[in-house]
Amino acid sequence: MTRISSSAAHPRRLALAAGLLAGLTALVPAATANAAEGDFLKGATVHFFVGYGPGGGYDFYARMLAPHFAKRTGATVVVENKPGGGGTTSLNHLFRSKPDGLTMQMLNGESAIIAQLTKQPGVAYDMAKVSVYGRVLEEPSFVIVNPKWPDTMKEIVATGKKIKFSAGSRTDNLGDWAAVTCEALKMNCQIITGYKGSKGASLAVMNGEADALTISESSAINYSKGGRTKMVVTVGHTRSPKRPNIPTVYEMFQLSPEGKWWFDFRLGIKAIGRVVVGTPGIPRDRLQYLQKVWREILTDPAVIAEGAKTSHDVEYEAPDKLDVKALLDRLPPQKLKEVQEVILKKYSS
Amino acid sequence: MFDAFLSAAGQLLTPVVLSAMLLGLPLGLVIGLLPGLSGITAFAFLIPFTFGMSPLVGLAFLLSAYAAVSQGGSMTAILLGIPGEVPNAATVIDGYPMTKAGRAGEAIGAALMASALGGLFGCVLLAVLLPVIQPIVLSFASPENFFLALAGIAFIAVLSSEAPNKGLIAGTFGIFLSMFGYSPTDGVPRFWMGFEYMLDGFRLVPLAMGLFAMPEILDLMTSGKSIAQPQALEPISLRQVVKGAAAVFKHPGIFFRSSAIGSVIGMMPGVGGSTAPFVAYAAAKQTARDPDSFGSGRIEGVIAPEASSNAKEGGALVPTLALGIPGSASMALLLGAFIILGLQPGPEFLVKHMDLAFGAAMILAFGNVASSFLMFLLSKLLIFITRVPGHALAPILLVLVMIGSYSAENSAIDVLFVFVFGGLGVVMERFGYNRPALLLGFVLGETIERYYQVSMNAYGSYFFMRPISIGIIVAALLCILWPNRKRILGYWGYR
Repeated sequence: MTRISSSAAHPRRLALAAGLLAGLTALVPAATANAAEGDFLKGATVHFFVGYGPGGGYDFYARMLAPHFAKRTGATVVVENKPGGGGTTSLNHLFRSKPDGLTMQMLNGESAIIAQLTKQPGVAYDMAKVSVYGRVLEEPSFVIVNPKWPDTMKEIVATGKKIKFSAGSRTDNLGDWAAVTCEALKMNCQIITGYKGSKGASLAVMNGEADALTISESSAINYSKGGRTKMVVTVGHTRSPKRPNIPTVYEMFQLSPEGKWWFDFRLGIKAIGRVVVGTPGIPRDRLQYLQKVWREILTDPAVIAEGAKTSHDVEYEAPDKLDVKALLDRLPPQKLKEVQEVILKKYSS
Repeated sequence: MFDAFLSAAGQLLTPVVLSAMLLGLPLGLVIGLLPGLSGITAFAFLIPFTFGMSPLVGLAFLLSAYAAVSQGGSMTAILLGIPGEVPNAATVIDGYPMTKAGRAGEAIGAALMASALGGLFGCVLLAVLLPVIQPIVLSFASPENFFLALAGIAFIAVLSSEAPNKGLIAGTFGIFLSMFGYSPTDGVPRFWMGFEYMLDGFRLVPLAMGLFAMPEILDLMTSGKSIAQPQALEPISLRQVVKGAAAVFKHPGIFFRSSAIGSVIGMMPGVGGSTAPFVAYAAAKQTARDPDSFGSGRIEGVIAPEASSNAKEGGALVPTLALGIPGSASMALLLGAFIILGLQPGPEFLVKHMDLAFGAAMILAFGNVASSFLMFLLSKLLIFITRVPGHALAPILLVLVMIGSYSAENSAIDVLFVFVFGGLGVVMERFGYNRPALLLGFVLGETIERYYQVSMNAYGSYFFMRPISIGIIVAALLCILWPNRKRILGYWGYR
């Protein structure tokens, strides 16, 4: 009673109190929701898989980003290297984990999709179902050739000579990129597989055992230093800011609709890039919270600067722009067969 | 050039760089002493600590630890018959019998001196060759890698000359085991039986640990005796160690040949350094007057693999620095570390940072010598391990082997396979089959298959007609046939 009379006696104070109360009522549910959102992570142990051994690029990214995730969520993050099957083993493991948001992976998205499309033995995952948190990086690609070849891809194709591409295997990003390039440009090609990773394949181009290789920008720039190889075309929709004078395949060639389809298809897969993913079927609220946390981490200027210092760039892309399911659904069964034929058989030596 | 050398030397002598080296050394020694942990583990474990260090400090820390790992590995090979790393398996052949005969001090002395000087040899060669190496490395392509590996595997016959048939069976079995999992050229898994682990085939660390460590552990457990029998021992003393070290100078031919073999094999990006100690051991045995006494505790059998094992590291740095192409798995990690430290190895690196390249060579040389010295100080303590009763030592060793095998890939299945291969090791030892021959077959089987198929696809069936390939074929044939030249000439009636 006293309060009412007191309030009645001070209409201004009353208005102020009502305003504050209204503000608080509006704030309280929001704060509760925020706390609830991330509660499942506080004090929990999060397993962060890396599909390769310690010391490599994926391992580095995971170890660089893990403390930022821990700081923002209050979780304890354990980076676990699970090498095997070229990354397949760890992704299978992720798919077998509980969908509680406490297991995630620093994934080579490109390789995972190619392995699934070409039905590689051991693949027990479905990339269409994976929970995408955010892309860390997608690098442009280039075709590099031995210096004895002409300076542009157009001139090289025009020679009509057989061009030997080097690769580790048919589906290791080097082999399937070579097959797609040959198919799209209707080139006279042979793909030699068996080299130890991109470094071994590049060495083969340098010493002339092979002629060409489609490879990521950082490697292409590195191996072209000192005139050991030449960068002859950008494989992408746009030119790279680091090599603006090298035209894209779309600019250099009058691509047939078929040729354009091949590049569009493969670049669509490439856009998934190095990506952080989680177990399929995570509850919606948890998924949204995890996506939000990863957006904050991967767009944080401090994180980007930290990566740049060690030549590990971070260029975030949101999960809604990386719709793996749509990408896989767009591929009709007949086309899928053709993709398998081109990647696995057509240009194999 | 000389300026770069002096500048590197000047930078190395700063307190920060020296402390980084002194910090790396003991860490490397500990990793080396744990069976199954290798230079790869050392880099993977230590690279995160280099974030934020200046390039030379980071390199000093990493390379000195790396140099020390190999020393630790040879200690366990000699004292316990358990190779710390795969290359140390060649040291087991004569080093362990020396321990059993109470000559552990001598074997350790020889190993330490050979490692230190072999490492120095490799580093000097690295420093000399760096400016001119690119065309040499580029002239070695797949056919040359194939023939080098083939020459390596031919030495199985030498490794097991006392029982050549059993040696060949063991070697062939090793090649067979290497064929499980992904085919090196078309990426199709073989014999994987729907078992995810087998997609990558059998792993090297569980195989080496099972073959070498398990039979020894089992022996210690069942007999309960210490490794060195007390009655066979002369009192353990540093005099023994010094005597062993002096033996290296009595065999300069073996030392220089082994170091050269190590450096050259280390330099080839395709072959992988694990082969070098085996080839060096076989070459030492081939050229000895009484090759049959090898395997029973000959000091030359310790000097040869140890000198080549450390010399190969200098060699392996050559393609890593000059081309940005790593010579081995651990060099691939080192390359990653360079990039983290803001450096990009390759031809431009040599132009811009020749001082750093010389610095790396000097750090490796220092690491080799300093870790040998540290081990020398520790050797008396370590020799006591061989006097610990078997039933006390075996459980400790078993735990260490399990930890080492598990941590190679964080895989419990690897630990299981240590026992599987342990059973194989026990059977092989019992029936006199050569275990190093199996290991060599396993290591080289994959290389041979890979480069044979790549050579055929890239050059066609005349791939062996390349000049360097012919040179390797001739050298390998000479090496194998030379000791038997009189018999061969006699056979043809030209004697």
